[in-house]
Parts: sequence; structure tokens; C-alpha cells
Amino acid sequence: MKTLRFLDSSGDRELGYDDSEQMATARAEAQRLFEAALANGAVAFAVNRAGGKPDQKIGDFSQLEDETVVVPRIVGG
Amino acid sequence: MSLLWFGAGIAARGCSLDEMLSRAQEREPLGPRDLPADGSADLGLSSFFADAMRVPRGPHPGDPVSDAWNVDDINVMPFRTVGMGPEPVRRALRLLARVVDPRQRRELVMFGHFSVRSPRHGEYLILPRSVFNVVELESGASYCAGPLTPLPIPDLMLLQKLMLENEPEKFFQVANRRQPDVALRPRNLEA
Repeated sequence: MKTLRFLDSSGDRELGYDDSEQMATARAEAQRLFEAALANGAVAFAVNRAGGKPDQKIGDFSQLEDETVVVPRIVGG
Repeated sequence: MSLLWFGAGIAARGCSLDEMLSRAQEREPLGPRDLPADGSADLGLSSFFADAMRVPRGPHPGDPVSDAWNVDDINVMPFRTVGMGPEPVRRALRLLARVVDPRQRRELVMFGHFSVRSPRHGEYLILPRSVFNVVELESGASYCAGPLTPLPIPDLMLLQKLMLENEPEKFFQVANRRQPDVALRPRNLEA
């Protein structure tokens, strides 16, 4: 099971999916939201990676690992 | 004046401060994490005020990193976010505590903030504030960058951590920088 988290005002929106046929709809929805977010300037990072590896920027849906955090586009405050 | 009333209140009730503390402990018994390691009960002023202010009392500087520390040990007050209830903040704090590395988790639990090492850019402190909360340790300059949509403060801290560690150029490209002495310089000393 892979987890995709979009940071928002509720804390985060969590989507879970895997590569099975039963999760095809959830996977398609996750991919749509992921690509829409990145198109709007968001950045995705793989976190809590296996083997204690450091976090890593992700640019493609096929690269998603077990847990990914999508942060919205940032501007100067 | 208020101290006089406070003292008069104690005298009128005919009990000492120690008795008041004991009664408070009876109403709300200490949890396991509040008890000292040697098993003796700690009913002193420090524990009374620490409990009253919900300050985490588990880890202390120099303690080894422990996986037993969790988000419930963190004082939530500094993370309160304008316009948001406690639940989004608590949820964001749980996520932050899970994603940061053990060193940062220890700092977060102990101090409410943590440091990050940004490749080629040095070390920064991320404070639980919504503006100018990224402080460069070497110069004291602070940076402000965040999303257009409001996020709970722990989510903002997580965003900044991930950007500083993995996309520092993008962060510094948009972040506003404030010199360390802007807020402290007296106006009458300016040229």
C-alpha cells in the first residue's frame, strides 16, 4: 500500500492505493491529483524511506514510494 | 494587590501551599511519565507548574534519543494556528513528528523547534511561527516562505524542512530575507 499525502488546512489529505486491480480507481484518482498538484507548482517528496534513506524529491507518479508528501507551491512571505 | 488577595485566600482556607499542591495531585493524579525514575513521588513546585502549563517533562538535554517519545509529549500551545481548531494542528504535528529524523524529533519534543542542514546553504532553525520562522544559525537572518493557502504551523515547518533539505535553491529563490537586527535596532540610533 502506498500513501500519498497532500498538505492542506485540515492537516493533510491522505490517499492510499496499491497496484492491484481493486485499487485501480483509487490509483487513477491519486495520479490525477498528483499531476494536477505538480502542474500548479507543488513539489513531492518521498519520506520515511526504506533503509533509513534520506527524503527525496519525486517528479513522476511512477516513482512514488511507500509514503509521499506533496507540499503546495511556496511564495515569499 | 492581587498577591495580597491570593495570600488572604490561602489564610482564609487555613491551608498551606503544600497542602494545596497535595489536593491538586489528588484531583489529578500524576501519569507514569511524570514520575521520577527512582520511583519517589515528585510533588514539588516544578512538577506542579509543569503539569499546569502542559510542558513536556520527558526528555532532557543529553538524554539518548528514544522512540518512546511521541507527539503527545509535545506542548501543542506554540503550534496553535490562527483560524484553525486543534485537530488539524494535532494531525499536522503527528505527521511532522513521523517525518523528521531522530535528531530533529528529539529537538522538536524538547524545544518545539528543530534544525535542518541545507546542502551548500548551512544550518537553519525552523521555529513554530507563521512568518520569518526560518533562522540561519550563522548570521541570525530569518527567512519567510510558505504556501498561499493556510497550513497548520507544523505542516508549514514540514514543508520548509523538506524544501531546505532537498530543494534549497527553490526555497531561497522565493523566500524573503530579514536581517537579524531589524527588529532590535533602536530607531533613534539609525543614521
